[in-house]
Amino acid sequence: MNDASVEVQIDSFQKQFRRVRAEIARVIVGNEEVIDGVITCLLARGHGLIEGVPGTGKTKLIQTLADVLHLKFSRIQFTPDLMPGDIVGGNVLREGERGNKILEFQPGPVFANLILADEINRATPKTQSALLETMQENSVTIGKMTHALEQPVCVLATQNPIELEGTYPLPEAQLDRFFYKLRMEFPDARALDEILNRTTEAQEPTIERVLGQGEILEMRAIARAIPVAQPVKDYAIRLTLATHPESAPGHEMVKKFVRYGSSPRGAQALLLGGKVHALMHNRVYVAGEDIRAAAFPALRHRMLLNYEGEAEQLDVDTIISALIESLPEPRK
Amino acid sequence: MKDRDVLIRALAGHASRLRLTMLLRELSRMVCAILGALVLYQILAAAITASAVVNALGVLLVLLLISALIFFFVRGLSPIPLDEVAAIADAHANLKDELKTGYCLAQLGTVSPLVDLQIQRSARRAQRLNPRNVFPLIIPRGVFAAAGLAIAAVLLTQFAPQARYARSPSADSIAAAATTASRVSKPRTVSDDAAQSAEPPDARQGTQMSAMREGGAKWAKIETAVQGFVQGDELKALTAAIKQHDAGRVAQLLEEFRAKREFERAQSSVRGAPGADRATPDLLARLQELFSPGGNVPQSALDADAGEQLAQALDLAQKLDDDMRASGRNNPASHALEEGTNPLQAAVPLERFGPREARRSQGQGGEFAGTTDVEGGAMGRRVTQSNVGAGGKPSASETSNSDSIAAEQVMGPHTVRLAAQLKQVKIEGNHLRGSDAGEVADTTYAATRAQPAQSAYQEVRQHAAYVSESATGGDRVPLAYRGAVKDYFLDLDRNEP
Repeated sequence: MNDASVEVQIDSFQKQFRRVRAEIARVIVGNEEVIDGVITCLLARGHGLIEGVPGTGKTKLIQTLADVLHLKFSRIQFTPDLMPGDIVGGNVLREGERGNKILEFQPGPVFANLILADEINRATPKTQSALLETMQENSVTIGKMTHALEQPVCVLATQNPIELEGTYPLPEAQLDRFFYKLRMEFPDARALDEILNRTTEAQEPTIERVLGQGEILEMRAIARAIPVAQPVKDYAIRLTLATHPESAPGHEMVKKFVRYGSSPRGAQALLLGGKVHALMHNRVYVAGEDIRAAAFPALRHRMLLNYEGEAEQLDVDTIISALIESLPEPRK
Repeated sequence: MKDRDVLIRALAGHASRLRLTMLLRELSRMVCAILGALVLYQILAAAITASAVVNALGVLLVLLLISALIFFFVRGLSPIPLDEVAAIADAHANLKDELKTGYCLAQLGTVSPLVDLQIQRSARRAQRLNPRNVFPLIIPRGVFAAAGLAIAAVLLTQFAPQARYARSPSADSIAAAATTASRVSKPRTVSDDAAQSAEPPDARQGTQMSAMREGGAKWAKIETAVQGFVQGDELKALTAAIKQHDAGRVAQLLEEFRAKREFERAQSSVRGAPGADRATPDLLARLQELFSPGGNVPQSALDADAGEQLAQALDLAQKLDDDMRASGRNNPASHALEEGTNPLQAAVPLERFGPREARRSQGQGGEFAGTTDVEGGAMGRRVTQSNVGAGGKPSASETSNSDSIAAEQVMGPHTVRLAAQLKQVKIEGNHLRGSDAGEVADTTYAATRAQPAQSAYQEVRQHAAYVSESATGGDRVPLAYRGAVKDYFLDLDRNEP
C-alpha cells in the first residue's frame, strides 16, 4: 500500500463517515456529538450506552443507524422478567427427519451485528450479565458450545437516568464494557420546532442505506492503523491515572469526590476514540485535542463517585473538565 | 532526500530562529539580574556603616555577576532539542501537534503507510512555515525591567546618601577626630587654656601646615593625641591601626571609644541620682498585684485621664507611708482596719476602683491582722461574725448564730435582700423538736435554697434519649426530625432533571 492509496482510503473513510452522519441527521435533530459518538463506537469496535430522559430519541437514533447500515439489526426490550436465555438463545428439543429427537441451538437476538438493548436497566442484573461475553469477546457460550458472532458486533443500550423505581443500575463490570457513555440532551426550542416539522407532517423523512458490512470493517481497520506519538500516548495515560483518587499528586476534586477511577479500558477508549476523532477531522495522527474530545464519553461512566460526591449531586463531567484543565498538554 | 530528513532539516532551521529569540530573552533576564544585584548593593552600601561588611558585599556582588553571566550564557547558548522545537512551533502556529507527532514518528523508524504519510505531511508543513512568522523577534519584557533598574542604579549613584565609613576617611579628618576625642576624654584645665592662648595663632597655623606636608608626621601627631585618652587594650588596638596607617580602622576605633565614654558618663550620672531606689518593696508588691492583669483595679481606672490623678494619689500614699514608717506609727501589729485609719486607704481613693475593691479593702485587710467586724460576705453566703479580716472561708473560731439570721443590727444596709431570702419558714414534717438553733438554721437555709424539682428528671431524660436514638434506626421518623427529612426529599425531587 503506497501513500496515494492510503490517502484514498482516508478520503473514503471521511466521506463515508459524513454520509452516515448526514443520513442520521435527516431523522435526528441536533445531538451531533451523540451521533458522532455512536458511529465512533461502531468504528472503534466498541459498544455505546446512551442515557437520556424519555422522548429525546435514543431508540430512534439507533434504529436510524440500523437503517443506514446494511447490517443485521435486532432489538431487545429489557423488562424485569427477561431471562438470559431470551437474549442469548438456547438448545431446543426438536424432532428430526427420521423421527428422532435432537437438540438444536436456537440463537437469541444477540446474534446480530447491531443490537439495541432498550431500557437496559429495567432487566435484572442476571439478565444484564448475559451481555458480558457478547460485549467483550463477541461470542456466546451455551453449554459446551461457544458461538462466535458475526462481525461487526455493536451493542447500543439506552437507559433512563431519572426513573429509578423498578430498575436495576448497571453493575460496574458491565458499565466498564461500554466504550462510550453518551448523553442525549433535551432539544432546545429551535430543535424542537424542527422535530415537530419532521414528525407531525404527512411525509416523514426517508433515509437510504449507505454502508455495508465490508465497508465498516475496512473503516475499522483504517481507524486502528492511525499512529499515535508517544507524548500523546503519555497524555492519555496521565489522564487515566489522574482519575484515581490515590494517584499522586492528584486533583483535589478527584481525591474528595471519586471512589474509583477509570479502568485500563478507559485509556483504550481514549486512544481509539481519539483515532476516530482525528480521522473525522482529516488528520492521520492523534493529537492532544482528540484525547480531550474523547475524555468525556470515555471516562464519565468509569469514574464512580463516593458518598460525598453523590450527596453533592456532582456531575462527573465537572471533574473530568477540571482534570483536563489541570493536566499539562503533551509537550515532548 | 527522504521526508524524514526534510522534516529534521526544516525543524533545525526553526531551532536556530528559536534559539535567537531565547537568547534575547535570556540576555534580558541576565541584565535584569545584574542590575538588580547592583541596585541592591548600592542600597546596602548606603545603609551599612561597617566598611568590612560593604567590602564583603562587593566581593559577593562580583562573584554573583560572574555566576549569573555563566548561567545565562549556558542557558542561552545551549542547543534546543528538535522535539521541543516542534512542540513550540505547534503551539505557536496552532498545528495541533502535527510537527511533534511527525518528528516522533520519524525518530521511531517504524514503517507503515500511515506513518510515512504523516511524516510526509509534517515535512511539508514544516517547510511551508516561515520561521520569522512562527518565532517573531519580540522585545522581551525583561528589557523594560532592565531599563527601570538601570535608571534606579544611576539615581542611587548620584543621589544616595554616602555611608559614614563606606569610603576611607582622610588623615586630616582622623586627626581632627582624635583631637576632639582627646578633649572630650581629658578634663580641660586652666593651664591648658592658658598654654593654648599663649601660643600665637601664626605659629599654630605654621605647625599645622608643616605637619600636613608630611604624612608621617601627621600620623605621629595622631598617635600622640590618642595616647592621652585611651589606655590598655584600647591604646594597643589604636596604636596598631595607626602604625598600619589604616585610616578607616582608626576612625572606627575612635568612634567606638567615644560612644563608650559617653555611655559610661551617662551611667555614672544615673547612679548618682537621689531617690532612685526608694520604693517600698511591700507597697510596690501590693500595687503590682492590684494593677496586674486580673488584678482588682478595673480597666476604667487605668485610662489616660484617670492615670494622672491616680499617680498623684499613689505618690501621696507613698510619702505618708514613708513618714509613718520613719516615726514608727505604721506598725502592722497595732493597726486597726477600721475605715479611715489606714493612711493608705485614706490617701488612695479606692472608690475609683469600683465598689468591689472598696468593699474588699474594708473587709479583707490583706496583710494586717486584727479584729474586724465584717458586714457580710457575698450574696447568698451565711452571715457570720469573724475576728479575722481574711474575708474568705470562716475559721474554726467563727460561730454560727441563728439569731443573726433575723437580727437586723448584724446586717448592714448592703445585705437587705439577703435578709428577705433568709426568712424563717416553717416546713411541715421537717421541724425537729429539741434540736439546737444551729440545726434549725441549717434546715431553713437548705429549704430556701433547694426546692423540690417540679418535673420528673428521669422521664424527661428517657424521652430525650428515645428521640435521639430512634432518629436513625427507628421505623418511624420522630416528630422533631420529620420536617428536616421531608425537606431533604423534596429537595431531591426538585433537583432531578
